[in-house]
Amino acid sequence: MSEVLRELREIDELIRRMEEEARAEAKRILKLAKENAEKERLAILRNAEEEARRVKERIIEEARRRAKSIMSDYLERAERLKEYVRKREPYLIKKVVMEILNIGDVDAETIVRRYFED
Amino acid sequence: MRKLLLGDISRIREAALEEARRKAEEIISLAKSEAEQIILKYRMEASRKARELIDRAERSGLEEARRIESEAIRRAKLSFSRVKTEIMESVFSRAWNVIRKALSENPELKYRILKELISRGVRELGEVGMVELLLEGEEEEKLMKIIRDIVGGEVKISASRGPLGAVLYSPDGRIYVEATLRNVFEDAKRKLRPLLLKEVVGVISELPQG
Repeated sequence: MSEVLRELREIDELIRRMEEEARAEAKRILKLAKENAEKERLAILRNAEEEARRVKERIIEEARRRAKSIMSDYLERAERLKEYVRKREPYLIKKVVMEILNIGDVDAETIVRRYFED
Repeated sequence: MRKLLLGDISRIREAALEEARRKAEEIISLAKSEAEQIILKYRMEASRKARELIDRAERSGLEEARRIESEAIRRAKLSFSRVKTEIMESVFSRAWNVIRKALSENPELKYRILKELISRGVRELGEVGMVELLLEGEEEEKLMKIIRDIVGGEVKISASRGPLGAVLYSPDGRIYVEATLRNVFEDAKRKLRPLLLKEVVGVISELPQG
């Protein structure tokens, strides 16, 4: 009978040990999972920070390009305006002369033409 | 009650071990499932934060972009406005030279302008006590007569060097009117600048609105 009891105790002990080992393995699995999840989380955030930096830089770079284009457009228009006014200068001066000297178109044109001829 | 034999013990051992194995597998399977949930939860949380980071960066970038573009438009408009002013000043400056040359070459025109200036001054002042002629050349004698015809014999007339025109004083000397060509020129500039600008800038399309 004592042999049987001993066997039963051994079985009990074996079962207890197997359960303990399973729990320890489960604990190890969970610990490993948390470590891996944390590593993955940090990697995702690192990538996101990098991506966020790229997104912002791309938007700002595009805005700088547009700003440059606006300034270049202005310079081009300013040049066109200067060129146009240069061509129209005698006419514009004639208008001023007519207004100030209170004279007609023909007289003003004669005065302006004489000035430019000299 | 039947006695337990060693053969029975062997069967019990097998059954118990089988049960223990099943339970151990269940514990590990549960742990694996929980581990998957943990990884999934961390991943979702990280993805959410990542999206927030990128969205925030995008908003911040767009705000900075708007600032950069507004500043560019403001600077472009300001520069364009300066160019317009410079161009107009150049036109007026050249016109002033044209007028001065025409007046120096044509005394009749100069006298007519002077008469008009003084007549305008008289109209503005009402009663004239004294006239101070502003002349650039040596034509006082002839001009004195012209002016006396306009302002009347009682008025005191003097002459000094200055841009074409006159300063007219009231009889008590407290009110005066500067009737000079330079003033007429400045008035004309104010009046003509927007009209001439409209004429020339109209052909050059405006800058984008910002």
